[in-house]
Amino acid sequence: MASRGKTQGSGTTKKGISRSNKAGLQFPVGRIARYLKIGKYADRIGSGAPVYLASVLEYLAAEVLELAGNAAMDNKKTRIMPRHIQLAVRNDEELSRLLGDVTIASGGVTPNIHNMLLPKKVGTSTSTFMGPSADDDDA
Amino acid sequence: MAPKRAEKLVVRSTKKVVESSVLVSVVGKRLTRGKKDTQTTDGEEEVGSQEHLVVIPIQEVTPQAQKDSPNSAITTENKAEQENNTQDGGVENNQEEEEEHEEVKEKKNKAKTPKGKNGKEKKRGRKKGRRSVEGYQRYVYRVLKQVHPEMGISSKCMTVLNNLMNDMFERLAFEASKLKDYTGHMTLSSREIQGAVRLVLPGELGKHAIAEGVKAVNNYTSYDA
Repeated sequence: MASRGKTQGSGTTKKGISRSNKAGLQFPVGRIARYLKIGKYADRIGSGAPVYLASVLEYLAAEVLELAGNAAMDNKKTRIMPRHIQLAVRNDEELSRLLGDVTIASGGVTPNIHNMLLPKKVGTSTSTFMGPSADDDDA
Repeated sequence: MAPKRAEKLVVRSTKKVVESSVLVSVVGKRLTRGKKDTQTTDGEEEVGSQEHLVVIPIQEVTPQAQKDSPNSAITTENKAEQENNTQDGGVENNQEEEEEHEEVKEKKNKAKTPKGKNGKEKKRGRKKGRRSVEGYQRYVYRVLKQVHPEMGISSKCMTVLNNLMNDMFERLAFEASKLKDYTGHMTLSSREIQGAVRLVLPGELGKHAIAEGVKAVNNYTSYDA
């Protein structure tokens, strides 16, 4: 009679391996699968769907964190703040389009002044005022 | 006429003092009566004391404790004032008795509640532990250490990223659910998720995300241990 469960015939216990480890991911595959089931997105959930979704979320997180870390380094900081996330997202074209209608708390705004609002440059050649001519005096 | 008015004023002030002293002395008297089982001449007070004997389980107290307690110390003046008050205002005594009955009932109710080791009231149910709030914080932190090992992150920033992950999850899952409905399938598979990624993520971001997803699914299916 074959033994069922984690114990095998030789008595060695088989250690459980998470699905995140199987897929080589950091994000939780099992938790995302549970969220998909609880959310009633479908009657049945395939085994590949939570793995795919977890990898996409991990990629997005890595992308945002990399850009935010670079923004923090530019400001000579070793801790990422919401301001750095805001600068990272708004300076990237695709992330800005993805998060166009998103407000980041304590993010501030990107520094921008329209060209029309800048003060006009003073001309190099000064126009001299011409006095009344001699012809006018004669007249 | 003027001296009489002055006397009236004095009497009123003493009456106020008498009322306040009666509250203290009557309680003490009843306690001592209950312990000694003595009878009094006043009918109303006797009835009240009998009720107390019936209702209240009184503990025996040593005479030293009686002397120390402020309620039991009754002066001769207070006794005289009590006798005057029983003639004048028996109604006040009845009200005081009712108040005492209510206090005794409250004490009994408190005594019924189960108490712990420290004498504090026990709360029924399981012990209050840490609430486990699920989120993506630990996973975001792991990814951060992969990307920038020397970089830290503030708690507000972590909240922003956690909300971002929840938002993206909902967007992708909702879009995949709509795709599933359009095709008439009942199962949400990785194919629907891939279509949702194509629709939601713009340009190169979507292409890279699809490549990452395909790689993860291949690793997962080909894993054997």
